Amino acid sequence: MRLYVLRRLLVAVPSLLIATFIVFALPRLLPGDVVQLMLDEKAYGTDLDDLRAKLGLNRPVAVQYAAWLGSVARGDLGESLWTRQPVLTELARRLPITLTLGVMALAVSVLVGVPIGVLSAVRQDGLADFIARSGAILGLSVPAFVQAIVVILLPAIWWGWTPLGTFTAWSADPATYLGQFVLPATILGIASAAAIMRLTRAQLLEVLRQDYVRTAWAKGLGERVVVLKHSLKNALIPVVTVLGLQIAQITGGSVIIETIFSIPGTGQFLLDAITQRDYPVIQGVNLVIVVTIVAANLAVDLLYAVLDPRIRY
Amino acid sequence: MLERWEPNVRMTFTRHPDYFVAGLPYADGVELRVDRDPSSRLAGWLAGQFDFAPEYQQVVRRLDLPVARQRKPGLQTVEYPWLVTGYIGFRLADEPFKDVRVRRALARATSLSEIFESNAFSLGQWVPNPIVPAGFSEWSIPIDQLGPEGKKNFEFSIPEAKRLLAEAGLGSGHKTTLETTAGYGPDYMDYIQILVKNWKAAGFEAELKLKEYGAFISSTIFGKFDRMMAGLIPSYSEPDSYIARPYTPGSPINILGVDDARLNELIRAQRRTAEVKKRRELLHDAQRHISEQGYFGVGGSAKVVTAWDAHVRNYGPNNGYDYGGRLVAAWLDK
Repeated sequence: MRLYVLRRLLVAVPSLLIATFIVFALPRLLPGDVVQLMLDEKAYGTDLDDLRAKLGLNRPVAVQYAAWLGSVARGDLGESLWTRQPVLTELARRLPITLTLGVMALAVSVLVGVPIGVLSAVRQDGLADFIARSGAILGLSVPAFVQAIVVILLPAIWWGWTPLGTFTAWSADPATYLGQFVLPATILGIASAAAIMRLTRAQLLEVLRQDYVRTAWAKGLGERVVVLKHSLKNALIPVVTVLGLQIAQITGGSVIIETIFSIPGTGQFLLDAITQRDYPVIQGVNLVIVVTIVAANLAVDLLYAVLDPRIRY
Repeated sequence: MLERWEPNVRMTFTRHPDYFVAGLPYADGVELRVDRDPSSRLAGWLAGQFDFAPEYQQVVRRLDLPVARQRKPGLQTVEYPWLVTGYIGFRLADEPFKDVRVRRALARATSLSEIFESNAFSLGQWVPNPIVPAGFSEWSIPIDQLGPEGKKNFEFSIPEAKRLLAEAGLGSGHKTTLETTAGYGPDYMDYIQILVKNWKAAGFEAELKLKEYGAFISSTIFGKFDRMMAGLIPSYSEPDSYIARPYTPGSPINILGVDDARLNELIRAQRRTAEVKKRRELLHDAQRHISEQGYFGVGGSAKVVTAWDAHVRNYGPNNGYDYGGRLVAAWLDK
């Protein structure tokens, strides 16, 4: 197992290098000049060139890339072009917020998707199955931002109440901190829960038709034991694969949810940086996202060995 | 004074203990929260998290006003014409915009009433603008005092627009591109769609090219566009900016490339005239000239509604970017 992990980490290095090139190059393909954006109409004479020199943007792109890569290797993600604050400092403040949102959304998707998928499979073609499948279609087809707007606006209009408010930090009140994520995490996790529910149901139905399951029934084992002990583990292997993909989907979805719920996480940070052409921030945040997803997918791969003892690395 | 700033999240201001006017400000502090989403802004206000309406200049969309009045008894409001107005840009050196008849045709094919009937901020309450918005009543020229062609610009007529285009040699129509941004919001995009639809009816087909907001305000408004662009004129606090910034040779936002000797003279003269009545006449002449030449065809501003909660006392909005000016003398009675 240790060798497998080491091998996967070594393989991740070229992937991450390619990722650094992409996160460096992509923002620079966006039209619009960040220096022009900063100075607006107020630039006179050599102001634009002076600011470019000050920000290091007048160097050849290859030199900028190499310099950035070198500083990343030293753990320095650079400074925001606008605020001149270290990107790492801002990330250290915001990343835990987005991670909290992401983990809670993932928890929602697993804790809602898997049990309902199991129920739906076990009660195939019954009322529970029908309701679960309809709910899943709804969860998949209604975009998260529509759900979020409805959940925010309608209570405000009907009852003068909204879930939004000033963001409470963990240090101020841990219970309120976690509580403020419940609604956004639920909305973010719904689409994933729907996908996981459908996959769990499909996989479990297939496993329940296997000969060894028929044997388990024939032995007189109860439904709970047959489904949860003998069948579910095998059904979950593809689900775990999809979970890895859902992590990327949740990360992307968090940008919109953070904006709508005014959560000061990395998603909002990234969106602002893109609008402002704040290259170091865009690069830093994207790199962190890539590393997180690579690490998450490694964790997902390792989970297979837990689920299926036949899998040994 | 600024106590705390979280970029793109919040600004917290606290009462200055040594403010230069004794006894002011009354309020202990002000918190400005940045909220990008219009629905969550409205929800926050309806739920009592803010004391002022959630849009620019503490405005509430007229569409939302009934529900706001229902949820906020004693809501205080004031109605006035905004200074924000739309504009279109092109290069005078390019065909077919060299021809003043084409510029006039675009104005004749613009239905301001249709635009402002459907706009959620105005719902039919609006004022027509020459280049200096009507909200700047001390300096803006009344529409009926424009020159003959300038006045006609404000008479929406598709047949007239077609006739002008035909006279300019575009009887079989013209195709072009129009760059703008969705970053001003969905209401702005509605305005653009109506604009383009009516132009098309006149035979002037403009293909929309949407640019991301950051790209738009760092390139398009400075003249980096293909054929045409559309945007919003910001609020200025004095009339000189409305005519000097877009029409002085060498100005970064003189995207039309105007170098008009008569206009240059008027701009210079009004800057050097201290006497208000005389300066007003010069500014009116400048607006007349700009309108006759088709540098600025037609514009309009919504009559917006600024709203604030019943417990906010001694407050009224400023028509522009000055949020703090009136808050100096405001207080909360709750």
